[in-house]
Amino acid sequence: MFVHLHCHSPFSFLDGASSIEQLVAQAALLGMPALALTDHHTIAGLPEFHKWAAVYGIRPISGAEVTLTDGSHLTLLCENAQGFTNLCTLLTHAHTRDGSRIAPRVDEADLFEHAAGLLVLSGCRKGRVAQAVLRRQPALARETVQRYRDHLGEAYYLEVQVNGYPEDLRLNRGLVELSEACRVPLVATGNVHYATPDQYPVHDILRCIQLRCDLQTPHPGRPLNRGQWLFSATEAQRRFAALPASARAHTLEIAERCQAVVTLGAPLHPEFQPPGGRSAAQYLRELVYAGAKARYGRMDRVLRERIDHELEIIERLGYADYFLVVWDIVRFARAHRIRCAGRGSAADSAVAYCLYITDVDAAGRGLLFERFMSLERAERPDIDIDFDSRRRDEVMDYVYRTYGSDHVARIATYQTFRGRSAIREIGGALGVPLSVLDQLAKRVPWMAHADQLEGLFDRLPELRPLAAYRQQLHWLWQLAAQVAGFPRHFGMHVGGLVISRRSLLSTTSLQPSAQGPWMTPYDKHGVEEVGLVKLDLLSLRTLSAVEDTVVLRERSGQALDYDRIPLNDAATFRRLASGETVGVFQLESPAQRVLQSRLKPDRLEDIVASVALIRPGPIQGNMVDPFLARRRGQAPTTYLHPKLEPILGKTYGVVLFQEQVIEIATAIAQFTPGEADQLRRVMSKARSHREMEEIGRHFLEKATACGVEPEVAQTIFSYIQGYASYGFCEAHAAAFGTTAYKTAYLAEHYPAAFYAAILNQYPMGYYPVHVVCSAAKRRGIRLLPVDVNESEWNCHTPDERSIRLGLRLVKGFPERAGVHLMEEREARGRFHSVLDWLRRVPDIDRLTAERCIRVGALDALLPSRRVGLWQLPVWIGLRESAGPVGFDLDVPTDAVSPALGRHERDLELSLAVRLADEYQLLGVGLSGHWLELFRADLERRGCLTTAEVAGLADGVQVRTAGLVVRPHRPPTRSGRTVVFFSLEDETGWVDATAFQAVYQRCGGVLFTPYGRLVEIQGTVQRRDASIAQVNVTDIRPLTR
Amino acid sequence: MTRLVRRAIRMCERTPSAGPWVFEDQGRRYQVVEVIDTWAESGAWWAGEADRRMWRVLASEGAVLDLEQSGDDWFVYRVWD
Repeated sequence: MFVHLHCHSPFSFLDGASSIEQLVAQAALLGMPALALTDHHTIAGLPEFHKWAAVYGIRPISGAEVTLTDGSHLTLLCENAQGFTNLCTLLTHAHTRDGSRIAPRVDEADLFEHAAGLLVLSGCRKGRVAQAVLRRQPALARETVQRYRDHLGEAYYLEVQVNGYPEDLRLNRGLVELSEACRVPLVATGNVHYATPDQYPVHDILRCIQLRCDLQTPHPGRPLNRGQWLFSATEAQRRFAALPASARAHTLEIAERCQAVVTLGAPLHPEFQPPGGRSAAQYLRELVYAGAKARYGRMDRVLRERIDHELEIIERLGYADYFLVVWDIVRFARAHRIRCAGRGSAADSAVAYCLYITDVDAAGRGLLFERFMSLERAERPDIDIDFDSRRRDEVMDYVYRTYGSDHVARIATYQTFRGRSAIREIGGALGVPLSVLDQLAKRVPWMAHADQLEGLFDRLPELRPLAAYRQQLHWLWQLAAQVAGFPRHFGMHVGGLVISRRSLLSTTSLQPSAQGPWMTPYDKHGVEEVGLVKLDLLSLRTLSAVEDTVVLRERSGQALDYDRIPLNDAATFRRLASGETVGVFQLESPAQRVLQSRLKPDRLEDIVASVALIRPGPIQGNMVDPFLARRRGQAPTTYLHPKLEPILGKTYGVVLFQEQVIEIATAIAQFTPGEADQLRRVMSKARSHREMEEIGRHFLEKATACGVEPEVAQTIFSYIQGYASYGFCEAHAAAFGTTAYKTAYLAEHYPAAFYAAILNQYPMGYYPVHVVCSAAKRRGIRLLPVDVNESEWNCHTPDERSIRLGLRLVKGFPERAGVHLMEEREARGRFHSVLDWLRRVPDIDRLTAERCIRVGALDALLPSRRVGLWQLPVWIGLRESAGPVGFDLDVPTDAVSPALGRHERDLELSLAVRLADEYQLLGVGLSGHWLELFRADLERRGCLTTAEVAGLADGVQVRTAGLVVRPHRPPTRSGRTVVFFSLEDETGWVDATAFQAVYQRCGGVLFTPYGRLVEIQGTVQRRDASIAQVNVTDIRPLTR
Repeated sequence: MTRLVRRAIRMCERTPSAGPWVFEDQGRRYQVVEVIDTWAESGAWWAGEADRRMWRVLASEGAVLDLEQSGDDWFVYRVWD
């Protein structure tokens, strides 16, 4: 028998070539009782490792391979909980030296100080002892072994490996001699990097990626052979035959000594200290009742029972502290005027509403609290809160200050190999030409999974020019499929953090993120599995835009109470029905705009449903048309199976919400709570579609066994399968729907302030800057250009019908320069020339000055932009040399001769050049629109403007042209590719759709640089008297 | 000093553990006195090349050679002068 005690998973980042499940499964297949996971300097894989070990019935041994300050390696294994805490401490300390985020190093003295509960193996060939033997330094080798033996006693072993490397024989002879001389036991290890020999190519490629070399380049860091697999006990016997049998026997002895140290599921809630000696439950109850009074005025019996019911569940599950912690965070934000709104399933809770954590009246909407928390599931609550993106970090700082940095940490996220990254990195290591990889990567959809690349050649016409390389790319597809989903490197979750009642080091190590904050190496799934409770404190630019809108209104003397916006404003619903919803949260995409114009919403419930409808889940489940028809009374509500009626009655028989999917699985296929939980987890993970297929087979089996017709079961599962790529839970839809409605209210009643606020948060939302500006212009709002004498840093509203564009929109304009500019203008008045501007704002560098000229920010001070560009070097020179007064070469704007005036006209940049500059450097054309350059020619050819198209009836054949906006290929129910895009011209815009055949023939150009301006032919489509769309039959790049 | 050779040889006898024992090279017969070292190398797997085993041996008449084993084929890969 043999146990592997030195094993790397993909969490060794580019050094582990099998998934954790594959490693555990292989160990179980070989009949091994235990397996150790020893990734490089991390415990990130341990939660998943423990989970799979339980599934496959082997004992998990936790550990890590660490690098000491001298660069040598050691293998550490945890015997017990103390050992695990010490391992976490060592890994954390290893990150405290300068430059150690990328290359953490353990200090040997620190190791000896924190050795209790750890077993220390001398390491692979990179271990100090092995290096000394290989370098023929016997004295150093012996001294090292003796020192470790003296400090660690029976917790120290000499590690021997036989992996077919040069000098293994001499090295192992030396280690055996040391073992005998120093009386330190030997232990045999495999230094495993993959489960089976056929995965060796994956390991080699990953190493090439890390070493930045290709396969043709020999490198000592690359694996020499395929010997580092998870071999059997028989193979171990063969490999280690020349060594004492005790080396293999000690693997079992060590496995016996090591307990499982990561406990899955045991809760580690945060602790809150209520004032006045009250218990957490007592204090929570007081706060909730006070909040209910503020929210509702008076509490009737039904509301009281609801609140008491929720409080009882919260208290019985032990989460009173957690709710108080969240309440306290929201209280801090509100007290500091930091706009916030809870999202997700927390909106199912009336308690959360009374605590002002969410903005959704769960009791009033009849939302079921058990969907958020229940005694049966006993899951940890997970509350997500959006904050004004500019001030979210103030809230984070408050949490750290309040609970202490050893109790609070951010959560990791893992950047994984996905379609484009896999292409570039694996292709580069394979030696595929860079130009080919570049074209391939740019044309592959960003969301493509690494294990689905091979099929893309057949489906995407824009990949056809690369078909000549298909053979060369064979290895690329194979290897990409195998590394799909492997963690590539750590990132930090955008807003997730954990707060623990005890020191985090007993549960996890900590490490610095690239952004600075310290984080646990566990991701959101890992933290949950080890019992930590997490919060998501997220940034939402929409809330920043809301705050800006309120501030702009206050500046103009008009107060606006966002929290008291009426939820039944008819004008707002009319705005939504018109489809003119650019900037409106969640409702601005082409699909949403068409939906609103077909749905013609007249109540908040319609908005909640809309938010949930236009998601890959309901779209692929073919829910949209039936919902619309039934909602408008144009079709009866029917159910595939009687058991679906109580679940789907609220949504007219259509599956809209995640909770409905879980209820369907339970009702139709009798899924147990555990199976339902598994389904929920698979639905929320989009990294691999294999798990969804597996759960589908299980569903069909059980449903059929319950007497459901197979075809019916298959159709019902197709609803569920659609949700594999995201649906919303009802509470989340309600939370988002409320914000969506309120931003629509702002867009309807305060358009200038609203669009200015949207522009101030860029990049955000669905559309580029020019689309937002066009939307504002269609509302009759004047766009005033950036002007150094009029603009502020942000866009603002001089009056209710105009927006002055801000300096922030000029590409690369440094914010500190913008602040100085305004301070200078405030202190010493307007700038009277370009040179005056440059001298008074020395932060303005040459590039920024040039860009300001190009976008027209200095038009009022210049006769023409061309003159400005010509003169700029002179002015810069004068500023730098501080030239004498009187030699100012500014061209005065108030004394222009007629001759100079005519000359100026000849000198101005052409419209095309000005537009190119404005679109590139400002994001919007203020001198005109691209299509003006083509309009005469387009008219001759019978092309209509988009405004003309918008007035045409259903079925009319049309030709039109425009600037392409947001071409995209979302997943569809049929699996066929459909491209959605919009065309914008100087009169407005129109949405267009190119179905598979058209896309294959001529639509690929939309995803290349040649498809920015196009002319289309097609048929006008207006379903249910909605806004006009064009069903495209031909697409051509627009040329002059 | 060493010379890369890569010359095919005939392996006449092998040890019980399948290592090299007696071989013929350019008409001369050699016996392995000692296996100094052995290691495995994977070839250019992306081009379909097979794995190989390398044996550094002290042969009769004092020659130190690197022998390459690729399946059932054997070669003198390198000669150490």
